Amino acid sequence: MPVQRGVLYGAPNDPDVAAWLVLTNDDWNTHLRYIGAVPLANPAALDDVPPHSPAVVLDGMGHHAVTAALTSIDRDDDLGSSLGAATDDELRHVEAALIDLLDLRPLLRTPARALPLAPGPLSPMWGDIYFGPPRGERGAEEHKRYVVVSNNQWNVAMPQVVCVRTTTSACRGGPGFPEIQGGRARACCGQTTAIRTAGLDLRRRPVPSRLGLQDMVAIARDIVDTYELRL
Amino acid sequence: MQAIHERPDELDFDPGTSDSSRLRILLEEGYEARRERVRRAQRAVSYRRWAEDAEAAEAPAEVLADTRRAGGVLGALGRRPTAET
Repeated sequence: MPVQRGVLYGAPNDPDVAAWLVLTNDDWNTHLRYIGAVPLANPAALDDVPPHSPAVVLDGMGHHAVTAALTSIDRDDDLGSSLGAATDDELRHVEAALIDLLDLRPLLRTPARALPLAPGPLSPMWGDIYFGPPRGERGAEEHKRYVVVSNNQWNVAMPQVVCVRTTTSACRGGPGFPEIQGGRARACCGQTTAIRTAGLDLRRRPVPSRLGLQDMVAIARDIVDTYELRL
Repeated sequence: MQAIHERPDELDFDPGTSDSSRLRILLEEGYEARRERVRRAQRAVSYRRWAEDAEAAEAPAEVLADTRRAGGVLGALGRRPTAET
């Protein structure tokens, strides 16, 4: 099934999601199994509307596109049939909400500016790298590394943050996978995903434990390209 | 002319292409059109390489599984608890 950016698909595996709005570009959607999508929430299912959740109409009814729950989903298993497409105006609002959540504009201006810190309790911080949820056998779990890309006001206040997975594999490269840490690792920008704060190991930290401004700018540029965000 | 040499990756000229040939090609295709075409071609190559790697599927699957175990994609972001939860 060809998957297209801007199209709404059913969410057969996620009963709390009314539909998935695909945001990754169509080159990505053509080649990759895991694609980036924002869940649409029925207003009746929400106690509170999370910030950065613009309206998108589905079946004649306004829903909330929860950009803070951007997820990398399996196109073969997690996507139902097409339910229609978001309008260009709706897509622009979703893009604007994501740009705001990730605070991309200060990063992409010249000169780039790092995001302000928001001191608070033990919370994931923008630019920090954490080990993610474990995978594999108990006692021999592996933990992938994730760098936090959501802004710090969000990170301090909310129970999940938006992260980009990193890899040290040498065979990646090119658009969508910018070099970070002086070329020792790469960021997988098409796998930008919300992660529960409780799913990150906030105490045992990888080395290095954070990225510099130049690396965060490179990630921001490739997020814009991969999700075709109009700044 | 200087920009042609400063951005070889963006325009994808063979190293041996003369300046006059580069200019002719750019005039025929258009600078922005060529740059966009080359950018998209490089992007597709990058994506294909990633798709061929088994590791590509691991991280999203584990994160999504963790999210679902903890109560669903919308999780604590304002979701009204259902009877099951």
